[in-house]
Amino acid sequence: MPVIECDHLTHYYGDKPALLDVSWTLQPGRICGLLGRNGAGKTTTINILNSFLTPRSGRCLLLGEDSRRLTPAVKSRIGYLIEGHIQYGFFNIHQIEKFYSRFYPHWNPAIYYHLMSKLDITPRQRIATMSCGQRSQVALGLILAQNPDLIIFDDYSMGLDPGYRRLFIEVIRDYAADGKRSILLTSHIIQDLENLIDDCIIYQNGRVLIDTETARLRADFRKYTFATTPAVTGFPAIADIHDEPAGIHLERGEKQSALYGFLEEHTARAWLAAKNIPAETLRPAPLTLEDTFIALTGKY
Amino acid sequence: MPTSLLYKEWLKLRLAWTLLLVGGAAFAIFLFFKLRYVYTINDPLDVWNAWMTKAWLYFRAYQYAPLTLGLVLGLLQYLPEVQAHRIRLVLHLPLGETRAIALHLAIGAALLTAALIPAVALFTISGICYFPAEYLHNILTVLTPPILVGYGAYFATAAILLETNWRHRVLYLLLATGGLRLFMMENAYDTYERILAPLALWTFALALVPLYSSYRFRKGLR
Repeated sequence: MPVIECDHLTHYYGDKPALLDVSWTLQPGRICGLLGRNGAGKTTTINILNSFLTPRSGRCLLLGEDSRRLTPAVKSRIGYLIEGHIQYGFFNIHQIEKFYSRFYPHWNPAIYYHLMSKLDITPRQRIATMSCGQRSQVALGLILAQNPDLIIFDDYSMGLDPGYRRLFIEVIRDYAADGKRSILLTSHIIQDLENLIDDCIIYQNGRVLIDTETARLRADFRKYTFATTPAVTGFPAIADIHDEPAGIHLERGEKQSALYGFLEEHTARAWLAAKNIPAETLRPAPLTLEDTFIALTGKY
Repeated sequence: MPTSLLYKEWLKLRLAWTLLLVGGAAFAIFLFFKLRYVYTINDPLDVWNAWMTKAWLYFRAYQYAPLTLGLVLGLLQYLPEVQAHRIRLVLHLPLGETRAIALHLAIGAALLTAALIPAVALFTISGICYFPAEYLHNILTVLTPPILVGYGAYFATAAILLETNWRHRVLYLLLATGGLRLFMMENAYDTYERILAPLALWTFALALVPLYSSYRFRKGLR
């Protein structure tokens, strides 16, 4: 049974569509990145998952229950990091642990205090006076101490410096190493997710653009570079070509151009030839997940 | 779990609540000594008559204190919750959402009650000490509407802060202000005697509005 099942979700803010017939699943033990540009529909989906929003149509099942009517028993199995690592600022780290511990039957304080021991904070320091990075560790520690089966991290990287981002990723990876936890996360720092996420869902304008295993995306999505010749320089009136039906993106540079898509080299050459773009120097180039994301969703 | 929520609310409010308690009690003590002074320089019959015929009541100045206490307590309790949508932390707790908000309201109402007790006790004692036994019932009857206003202000503040739609907020503000204004129009002897029960009902009906606001928040209704 999927841990999360989004079934034909559609939602509008006024007349503006936010989600259009979105369906995907998260299987147990998987780490899934929900990616998309600003306004693509990620937060709307997260809000629906956490029952802070009722979709116009469709539904979400979390651990088998409708997200609009989650029972306390199922809620106790779901950890949720709110965007911005929101927590109660008036608590210190001991008080907040005491507060949350009574709500969760499988509470494990050791993992929380292990994380807290690494922070340079005084025992009575209030959370409100901590740095953003320290607050993120407190919020993360509280979620992990719940021992949840499913964790939803909404933009975990917001406001974090590279050190805390790396720490966050390492903690998540160690926690999920037993393969029993399912994690859904969103972030705009895609390079951090490169070696973390098993599955990748990319939204574009409220629709699912890509829903696949990250390894498969990495293997099948290609980047080719070639020297920009005067003919190419002369060809496009605009900088890039985005062939949505073919899933091909051409990025024109002054000296070097790049072609992205789910395509073999011979297909790439054929596509360029059809567009009258000379590309004798075409060769495969290394590609990061962030390159893939930008190629798929565009820069503008 | 309710004790855990009480623990959270207590840590959040303890300093401000203590100040409200001390401030309210100090004001009541001041009015108590003022009454004693009035008795020292006037004949008791004149004092009793002044209330009966001229609507002079020694704790008249206190009538806005419960309103202030309810308003401030509501702001202090719910502003931190709604800032940056912290209310989501409460709604995500493994506790029914309506139950979680109802528990917050119950805790706030209990703290408000505790903050009002010293003044009510002091006015009751002063009624026993300085007025005939027949007056005591009326002193409490006249004191009750402002106290109900305190609870009404608290519930209305909670509803307005938990609400996400500005039009609904304005509507709640108008309803609460208009409704609660009726409670403070008179403080003469025997006023509100026959209407106390409906006023109390109206006040505690206001407790349902924050629950509706939180329901609207959960459903993402804007």
